[in-house]
Order: sequence, then C-alpha cells, then structure tokens
Amino acid sequence: MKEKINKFFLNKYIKFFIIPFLLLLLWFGLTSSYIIHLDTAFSLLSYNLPKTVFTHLPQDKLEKGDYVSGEFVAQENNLGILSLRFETFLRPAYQNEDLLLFQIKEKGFSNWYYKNIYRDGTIYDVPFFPFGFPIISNSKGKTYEFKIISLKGDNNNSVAVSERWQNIAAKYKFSKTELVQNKTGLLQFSIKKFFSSLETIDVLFSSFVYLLPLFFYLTLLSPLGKYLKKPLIFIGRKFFNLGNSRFFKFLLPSSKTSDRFLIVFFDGILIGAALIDGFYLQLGNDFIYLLVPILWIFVQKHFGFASRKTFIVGISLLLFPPVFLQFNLGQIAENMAVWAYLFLVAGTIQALMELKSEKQVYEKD
Amino acid sequence: MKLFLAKKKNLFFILLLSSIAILSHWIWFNFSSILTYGDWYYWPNEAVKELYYSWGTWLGNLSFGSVNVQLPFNLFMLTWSLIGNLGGSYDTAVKLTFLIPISILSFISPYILSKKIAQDNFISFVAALFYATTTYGIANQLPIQFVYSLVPLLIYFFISALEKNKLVNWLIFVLIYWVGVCYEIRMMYLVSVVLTIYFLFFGFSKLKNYYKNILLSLFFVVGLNIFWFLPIALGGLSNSITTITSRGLFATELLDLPHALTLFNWLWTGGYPDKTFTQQPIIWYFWLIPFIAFSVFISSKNLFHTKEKKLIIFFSIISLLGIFLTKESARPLAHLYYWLYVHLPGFGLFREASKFYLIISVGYLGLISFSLLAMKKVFNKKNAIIFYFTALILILISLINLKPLTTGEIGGLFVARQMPRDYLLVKNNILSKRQEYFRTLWIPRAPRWGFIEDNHPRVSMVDVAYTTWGNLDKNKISSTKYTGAELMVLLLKNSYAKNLISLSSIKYIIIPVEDIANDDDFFIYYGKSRKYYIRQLDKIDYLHKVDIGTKEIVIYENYNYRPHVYATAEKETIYKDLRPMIYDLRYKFINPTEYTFSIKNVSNPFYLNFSESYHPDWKIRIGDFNWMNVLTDKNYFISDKNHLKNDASLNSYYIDPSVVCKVERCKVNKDGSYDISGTLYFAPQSYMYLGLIISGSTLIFVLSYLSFTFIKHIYERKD
Repeated sequence: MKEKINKFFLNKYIKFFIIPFLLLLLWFGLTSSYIIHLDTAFSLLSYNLPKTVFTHLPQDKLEKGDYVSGEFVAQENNLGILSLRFETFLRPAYQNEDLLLFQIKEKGFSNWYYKNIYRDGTIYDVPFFPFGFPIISNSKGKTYEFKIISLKGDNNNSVAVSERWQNIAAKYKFSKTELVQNKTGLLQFSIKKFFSSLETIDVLFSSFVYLLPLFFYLTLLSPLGKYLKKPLIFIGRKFFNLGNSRFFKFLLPSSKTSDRFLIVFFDGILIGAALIDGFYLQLGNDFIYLLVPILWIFVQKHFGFASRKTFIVGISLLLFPPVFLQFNLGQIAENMAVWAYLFLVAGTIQALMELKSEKQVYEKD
Repeated sequence: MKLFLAKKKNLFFILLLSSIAILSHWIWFNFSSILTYGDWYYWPNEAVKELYYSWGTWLGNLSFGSVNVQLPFNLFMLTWSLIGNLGGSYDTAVKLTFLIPISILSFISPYILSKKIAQDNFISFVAALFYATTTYGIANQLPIQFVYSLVPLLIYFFISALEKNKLVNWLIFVLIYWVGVCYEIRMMYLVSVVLTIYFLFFGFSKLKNYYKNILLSLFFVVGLNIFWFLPIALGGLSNSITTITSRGLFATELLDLPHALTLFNWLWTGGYPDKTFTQQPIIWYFWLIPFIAFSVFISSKNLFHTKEKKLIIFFSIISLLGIFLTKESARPLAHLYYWLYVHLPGFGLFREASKFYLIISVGYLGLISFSLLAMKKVFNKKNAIIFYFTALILILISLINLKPLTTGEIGGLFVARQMPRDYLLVKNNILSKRQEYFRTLWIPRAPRWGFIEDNHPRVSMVDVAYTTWGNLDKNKISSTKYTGAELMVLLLKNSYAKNLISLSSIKYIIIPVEDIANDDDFFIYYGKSRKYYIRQLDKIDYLHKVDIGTKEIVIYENYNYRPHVYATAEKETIYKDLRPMIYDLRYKFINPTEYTFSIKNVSNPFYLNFSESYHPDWKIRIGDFNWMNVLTDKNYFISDKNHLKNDASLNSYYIDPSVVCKVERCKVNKDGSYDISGTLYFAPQSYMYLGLIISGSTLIFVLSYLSFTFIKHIYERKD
C-alpha cells in the first residue's frame, strides 16, 4: 500500500501539475472564502477608509461622553454598513457594559439619518464592529458624517478605537437577485470585490499564509525546489551570511551551512506570521491557526528537528500573555496565548510522530 | 530496611497531605456546623428520611413535581436516608458522603496516581498538592468536586487493571467508576474520554489479552447502572433530558484560552468568588503552571524510557484537549464548540465548558509529575536548587490557593450557617403538624431553609412566573415591561389567580426572610424590596394573614386550596370556581410515583384531578395494580385519550364509569352506581424497579466476589 502511495507521488504529472494546481486552488478557495467571511456576505462591497476621515479620534478609552466622529465620501451606491475596529480590554460583566450611540447622516442635513444604541459586549466577539443602518441607495459621491458616543463607559468598562492601520471601512450592499440575473455584472462585481478586498491588510496577510503551502511544496518537495532554493541560499550568503554566523552555528550546530539559512528562513516566515497575527493583526482566522502549525511540523520534519524545538517556541510564546495582561492588553495576551497553545499542539503531534518512528528521527542538537 | 524506610516516607507524605486537607477544610469536619450555600440547598431531616422511597422517576416534593433526571444520585440519596433514619442529620449525611471524602480524596488520590507514574514521594506530594488546590477543584458544586477528587484514583485503578489484567482489578475499577457515575454522570463522561485515550495509548495493541475482562467489565458497568438507564432509555425520560441538553450555550464570554491554559477559574479572586458573572483577571503567577507543566518536553530526549515518554505524550494530549474545550467559544476555532454541542452525542450536557477543567487538571498532574522528575534527574547533583525552587513555587501557589478556605474568606460551604428562628416556627407550627397534603408558595422564591416533605412540597414563585403561570396571560403581562417582583405580584392579582392557586393545592403563601447573615438575600435580584411584596399581598382579598409569632416571615393562607387528588363534574379550569364534587374520593400516597384512590357511588362521568405537573406518563389503572404488568401489558391503563392537561398544566382524567367498568373490575351498587378504586402511577417507575433488581444483584455479586478474593488473599498470605 505504502509503495503504491509512493509510486503515485513519484509520478511526474502528479508532482509537477496536480499537486501545485491543488495547492493553488486551495489558496484561491481560502482567500475567496475569507473575503466573503470578512464582509459577512458575498453581495457586500467593502472599501477601507483612510485615517483622515476621522474629525475627532480620542487616543484613549471611550469613557462616558467621549466620542469618535468623522466624515467620508461614499464610493458606491447602497451604503449600508460602517465598520470600526476597536481595542478591547478586560471584559466587564453584562450589566456593566458600556452603551455606544451610533449616528450617521448626510453632510449638511440637520437630523441624523439613523441612530442606534449598541452594547459594547458584542465588540469583544466582533472587534471590527459593523454598525448597520437602512441602505442608502443613492449614496455614491455624497459625504456622510458619523458619530459614536459612549453613554456610560468608565475606566473599567469601555473600549477604544484601534490604532491599527485600516481601522474603518464603508460597506455597500448590492441586491443578490440583480447580481445573479446579470452574469456579466456578476463577473465584474466578483473581480472588483476580489481585488478591492486584496487592498485590505487582513485579506492580504491571510492570502499570503494560504499561499505558503504551495511555496513550501515548490521549494522543499517538488523537483523545482533546487532552482528555487538556490537564489534563497545565494541571498542568504551574499547579504546576511547567516549560514556561517557564530550565532546560527551555535543554534544549529549539526545543520549544513547551506541549510542554516533555509531553516531560519522558513522558521522565520512561520514564527513571523504568528507574531504579526498575535501582536498586530489579531485576525482570529481559523485557517491560519490550522495552516501555520501544519507547515511548521512539515518544515521541522523536513529538516529533521525534534519536537523539543517546537516546545521551546511554544513555551517562549507563553511568556508574552502575562506581560501584556499586566498592561491590560487582554486582546494581544489572548492572541499570543493562542499561538503558544498552537505550538504546544504542534510539538505534541511531533512528539507522537517521533515516538512512532523513534529510530528514524534524530535530534540535530 | 530500605523498603521499611520507603514505606515510612510514603506514610509521612500521606499523613502530611491528610493533615493539610483537614486543616484547610476544618469546618467540613465539624459535625455541629450547618453548611449550605448556592445551589446546595439545605434539606430538612424529615425529607432526608423519606429519600429511600422518594427519589424515584418522579420528584414530588419540589414545585408541582417533575421528572427526575438525576436518578443516579440514588446511591448517595439512599445513604442519606439510611443516616437520617438512624438518627443522623442532613448535615452529618452530607459530611459523610461528600465533604470529608472530597477533602481527603482530593489530596490522596492524586498522590497515589503521581506516585504510580513518577515513583517519587516528594514529587508526588507536590503534584498532589497542586491537583487538590486548583481553582476549579478547590471549591465547586459538591458532586463535581467529588468526581474531581476521585478521578486520579480511578485512573490509577484503570492502569492497575491494564497492567495486572485480573478480574479482581477490573472489578475494583468498575466499582469506583460506578460510584463516580452515581455522583456526577457528566463528569464521568469526560473521564471516560480520558480513559479511552489512555487505552488507545497503552492497551489497544494488546486488545487480545484484554477483551475478555473488558467485556466482563462492560457487562458489570451496564448492570450496575441499569437502574437509571432503563427508565431513561425505555421509560421515556430521555425527552426531559433532551429539553435540558437543547438549551443555548452559557458563559461563552467568561471562558477563554488564557484562563484555560493557566487553569484559572473565571470566578477566582483569591478570596470571595465573583458572583456577578465577570471574568476575573488571571493572577500573574498562574502562568507559571503551564510553563512548568510543558517544560518536561525541553528536557533531553534520553531522560525517559519509551513507556514514560508515551505517558508524557498522553498527559500532554489530554491537557491540550482539555484546554481546547474549556475555552468554549473563544479563539482558536471559536465555532467548533457549538458544533460539537449540537452534533456530538452526549456533548449537549456541557452548555458551559468549565467542567473540562477536570481534564486539564489531570493532564497537568501528569505533566508536572514528569517535569519535576526530569528536573530532579537533570539537576540532581549540580544545581539541585532549580528542582527544589520549582517545587517550592508549586507548593506556594497551592498554599496561597488554600488560604481563603482556611480563613473562610471564600464563603460558600466554608462558612457555617445558622437557620433563622422564623423558619423553625413555620416548620413546627404550620407544616409538621399537619398531615393533609398542601403546597407552600414562596415569594419571590423559596429560601434554602424552606421546608419540604412529600406531603408539603414547596413552590418558588420565580420558577412558575416565567414558565407555566407566566405563559397563561402572556399578552397582558409582558415580562419585559415589569420587574420580576411586579410580574409575580400581577400574576397573583389576576382574575383567575384565586382558582389557579387553589387548584394548585397551595395553602400557604410565604414571604421569606431577607437573609443577609447567611449570604442569601435574593430579593435584590427581582427589582423590589421585601416590603413591596408584603404591601401588595396585603391587598389581595383571597389571602388571609396568619400570625404564628414569626418576626420577619409573613404568611398568608388560602382557605380554598384543593386536595392533591379530587373529582369534579366538569373539566377543571382556572376560569371557573368548580368546587370538588361531593363524591367520597379517598386517596393514599404510596410514594411520589404511586397513589391509590377509591371513589364511591358514582353513576355519571366525572373528572379526576391530580395536582401534579402534567406528564403523559402519569397513568390510571382501575382495579388491581402490579408494577410488573406495566412492562408487559400495553393496555394496562385507561386510554391516554382520557388524560388531559388542564389550564394550570396539571393532570385531569375523564372517567366514565359505564365505560371503564365494562373493561375493569368495579363494584356495582344496588342503585346501579359504581364504587371505583384504582391507582395513579408514573409508568417509567416500573423500569426503575426492574433496573434496581438487576443493579442490586450485580452489586451483590461484585461485592461478594471482591470480598471472597480479599479473604482468599489474606489466607494465602498467612500460609
């Protein structure tokens, strides 16, 4: 059976075309599904707004009476949602949650077009919070003003507007039936949506991680690997000379000089992805949570590293949450705990694999 | 000599752990204290004595009666009843069956397991101290705590059974497993998962050697548990369980990955626990726990042999599984818990994920044992201080956690309570003296001291205000418009309230004490003060104030309350005052699932009313009754078409003497009227009786076999 499987994978057609195509399909499928997930519906078109739209933006928590305001020009018709990214702290009890009054109107009008009160408890589950309102069908080109006021926030029970890049987006809702009826329109809309979404850092980052299986396959497993590795090793030698640096010789003593840079490169991509997500983006994207540990196990197995290394990474990541919690940065602490947990899971899976084939695996150190 | 010293050392640590258990839980060993708090209500001794027959498939002494979904509790309920009938109090019963075993077992049972895997007395001592003092295991609902304290011992016996593979070892395991099931079946579901993973790791490859004993063990497990399983599976009680398991998730905002990783219960404050459902911040030193636990994997690969490595991976897997499930709907894979809750059989029992802390605790117990062992091996000669320093950290964390228990700061079941005198007056002057059946209605809700007996059930107004009674007039009385207190009072002032109260057999309506001294002032939850209820109830004309000398408790009497079983000429309704018929209906309480009745000189059709919650399994048998026939005869009872649910959601039966007496035996009088006698019976009870016979026989067999083997073993040793 094993032989049959091996034969199957040795087939050139499979190696060169089928597997790369499937991995490319995986990237496209996951990216598309993430775009829809982020917009909550396929028929929504989302545009990030620059920070300059804010006319009043407090840097600290929104306490009672504090407000966020701004104005923006609608890029499409059917404006229906304004999403704002918030920073959350320690979660208050339900009865203590802050109330946020959201208001929106067209510039120049005296009355608010729509206003509603939201409990900030929901923001803890959906940090990029969508403030919805009745769709404005002829919004394109018009300027809209919005204001969000805290009604009962205090130091312990409040949220703050995130300082992250792309912390505000306007969303336009299109009719599903109209889109389905017009096939050319649907295609145009899909392309527009796909490319406009790629401008969002969340989508871009996720899409990058989704592309990693293909990249790792091509570099490390496929027959094309040697051609792809060469420039990487060359860059490593030319610019960093990492393979011969004392630090990496100490860290990876038994690895080949040429491998040292590659190991650091692949590990760096994966740990970097974890750190960027944990510290900054905080996407909570389940596919990233699954892909990164799987790729990590794959890379460690490929270069012959034992589970010990993975546990060192996992335990090191465990150092972050208590520090961030001391500064009341619960969200970052939680994200770093998630990554620590995922590395501990990866380490345990590796340890299990090692147990099964104890003779084959050897520790590099 | 060496063996003697080792045994002495072992005994020393066991004694040390026992001393810590007794000192930290000293109030649990004080037999004169009354301990009741939260969901753990106080039971009057009278009700405890009745438990040997009242803990059946139908619970009659609370509210209007309900299906008993906690049938496995019969093990300790019967023990309570025995203690009560031997002259002991409820408190003594709880201390003997829960508090003392929990306090001792939670320290000793992890010691035994850790000793088995780490083979080191001091390390086992530290690991046991850690396990006994986790913020989840230290103070919780008592059945959960009982299983928590039992689990390491159970795993120990499971390992022993696998290692020795003798029937006697498997039977010891089966017996302990069954005890766990009887105390908390949900926790045992989790334990079963842990045991299955262990078996997959260590036993599955040798399945051929084990299958005979495993099949026999399964046979005995089924036999011991069949007394509760039969009525649920075949007796139709599963519907009531489905109602419970189909509720929405709870506490999703209180549980997350950092709290799970650090084994930090969301309500832990280091003193009096949070009661406002606010997630408490993790105290920094709790982060040392996962750090120490997983550090075993950093040690050199050659430190442990293959079996130990397997054990370490096993404990890591269950720790990580426990962490993943305990975080409930938080990141990562936030939606998976809900999916499991809806789709995985049995998972519906966990609408709140904190129970999975048990799995983490067991996992960390193993990992910490091995981490310390690894440190001891690595730093034995040089730098031994690192090993002792790590052990000291764990000991200090444990002792800090134990502090609020010893001082009583934690409150709850660590503070002795005093029953206010008023409740004794109610019990002695109103309830115990009267033999006739009636209910008491407590507004806004029954206090923990509220008296119950099978013939005097208590009803909490808040329980019915939002369910059966609240649904009667939803259009007029919207629960969103009024505070809880206002809603309850409005229900009593309704035009039909007088009839509703009367046909619910409620004789007394009682406003309890604002019990601040016992940390039980529930008035604050319903939006109005105690005085509000008194002012409003004073205005209700069908209620008459009764003065028995209470200082605070206010009692009202309803003169028109109906008996538990009575007959009317028309179908009972809350919209019309149907006085009971003049028929001479007599009934006798056998147990909460069985009543006999007789009615004389009836010639016309009538309605027999039974003021228990409507349930389709309440049946009427006319003539002789035998519970065995319920299992075999499909037409043993009168037709279900005649069983009706009245306005108050209670049972009414339409009985036409000329029809029923054609089929069943009735006495025909000279004037052509009938004397009818029969039985009101909750049918699933028959399955429980059958189950009890099987479970009882299995228990006798298992105990006899174990006793025989034990005696044989002693004689063999003597020889």
